Amino acid sequence: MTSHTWNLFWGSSFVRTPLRNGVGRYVQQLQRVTFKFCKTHGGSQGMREFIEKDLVDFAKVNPGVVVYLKPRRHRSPCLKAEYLNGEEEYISAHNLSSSDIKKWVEYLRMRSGNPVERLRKYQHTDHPSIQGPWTPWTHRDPEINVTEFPSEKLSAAHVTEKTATEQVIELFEKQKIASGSNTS
Amino acid sequence: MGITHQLKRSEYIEWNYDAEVYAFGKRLGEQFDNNILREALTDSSYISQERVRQQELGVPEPALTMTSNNELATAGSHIIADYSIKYLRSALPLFPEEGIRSLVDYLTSSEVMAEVGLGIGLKDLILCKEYPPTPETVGKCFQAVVGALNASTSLSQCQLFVRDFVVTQLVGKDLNEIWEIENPMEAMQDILGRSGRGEPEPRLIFESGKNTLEAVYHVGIYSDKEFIGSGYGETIGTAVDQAARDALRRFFQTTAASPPLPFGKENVKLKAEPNLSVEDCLIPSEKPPVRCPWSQQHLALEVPPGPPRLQLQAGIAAEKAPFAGFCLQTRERKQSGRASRVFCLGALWERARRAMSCCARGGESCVV
Repeated sequence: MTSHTWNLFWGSSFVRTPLRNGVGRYVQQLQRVTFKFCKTHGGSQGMREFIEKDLVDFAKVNPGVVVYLKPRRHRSPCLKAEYLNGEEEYISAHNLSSSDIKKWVEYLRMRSGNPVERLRKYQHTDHPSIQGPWTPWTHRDPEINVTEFPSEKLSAAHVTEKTATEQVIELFEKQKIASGSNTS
Repeated sequence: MGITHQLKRSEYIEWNYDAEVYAFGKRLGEQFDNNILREALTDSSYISQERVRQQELGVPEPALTMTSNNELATAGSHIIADYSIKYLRSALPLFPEEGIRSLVDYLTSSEVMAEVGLGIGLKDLILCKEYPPTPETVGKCFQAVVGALNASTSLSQCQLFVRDFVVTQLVGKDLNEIWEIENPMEAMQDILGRSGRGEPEPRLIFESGKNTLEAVYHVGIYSDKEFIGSGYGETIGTAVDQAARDALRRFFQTTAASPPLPFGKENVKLKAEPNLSVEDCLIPSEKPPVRCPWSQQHLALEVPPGPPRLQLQAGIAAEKAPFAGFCLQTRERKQSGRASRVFCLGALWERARRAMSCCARGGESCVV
């Protein structure tokens, strides 16, 4: 019953897919599904209804999944899924309705066999960096290699605003241009 | 209780071999001929086991009509190798032929074949003596399945199958790690010489933490004052080696920025003629030279014309002198006197050819 709740003690992993599935073609990872149920007990009622109504459609739509039916007396019903990477998944279907079972079967169909874990990142890439990772010298000017330290130029304060003198000069130039255009 | 043997999946009550074989083909999206597929799944050990069993039961002439998958396996392995070579030659036109062979050797190795076979679901379908089947058996069976597919459908269909299941195993792998060049500096020297370019000159671009535990050197390789590659290292030797490898990656277009292998709907035009060997590789002259953006500025500096040249004459070895500036691994390596690599060719090394203990192998010691 691992699928029903998540807890902190589960592991964590990255997004992955078995055997590069999807790069070439997509292969459904569900290999076999076994439906165990009791023929008479009330807890298997939903399961029996699912088998009567929806199972054949499921088998037709998924020809790559082998479906086994296992009637067992006096046992509660369950679904057992086996995946291509060898993982198995059990889901108890006791007292579940047939629509619930249909949803769980759909859940099993969509899974890869990878264990359910917290995903640390929701994306994966094989090329995390195109230009190469940053290094302390990525944007350094190699001129510093041949600079004599202490260097006045590099030690000078970075001026971000215009000084007052520069602003006055600018205003004067603007005035000159404006008066020049007026006269001409 | 004693040790009970692990139940095979086929020993469960819920098992139907016919259904499993049918689903196997459908799952892969292929139309297999049933008899040929069953032949592909039958290992020779199973047949010999059956023969022994029938003889024990008293059957005088065991009429076993089963054939083992040996023939199909050889056919399949030929198809896999042939297609992989042609596909990779086409997808990596500048990669040398030796590299392509290495990649195909990797793809057709027993580990990869077994991994792919198990990932497809052959573990429960193979008829063989032991359980679980050995990796060799699984790999052989996978090759037989490829042969069976070729016999059931056309070669083109089979080749698509090989592309989707075998060649995709290269995705996410570093091709330069699978084919590792022993002497990258020598190889680059060869290639540049034959292309009529200048000798490769390693030059120090940046350094930090010299004579400390965390020394880093950034070395660039230049040919005719043009930048061709750069690399980092804990020691100058490692950095030069990494720079040479980087330059070769740029030549062969297997950098991180190179386009990925094509697996889309478009069919790759297979290339039958072999790529250039490493001995024949030439840098085409009409291609624009690889320029580092700041190299122009660097060349404009008149005084002095470039960063300090690496001084590695006998007697002057800044990176060799202090012992205490190295991590434990490096210290142990030096003490044991093992020199894993010797640089013997190149403009820089004309002087003293010596086993430099600082030029040790180690991607793990390189700060990248």
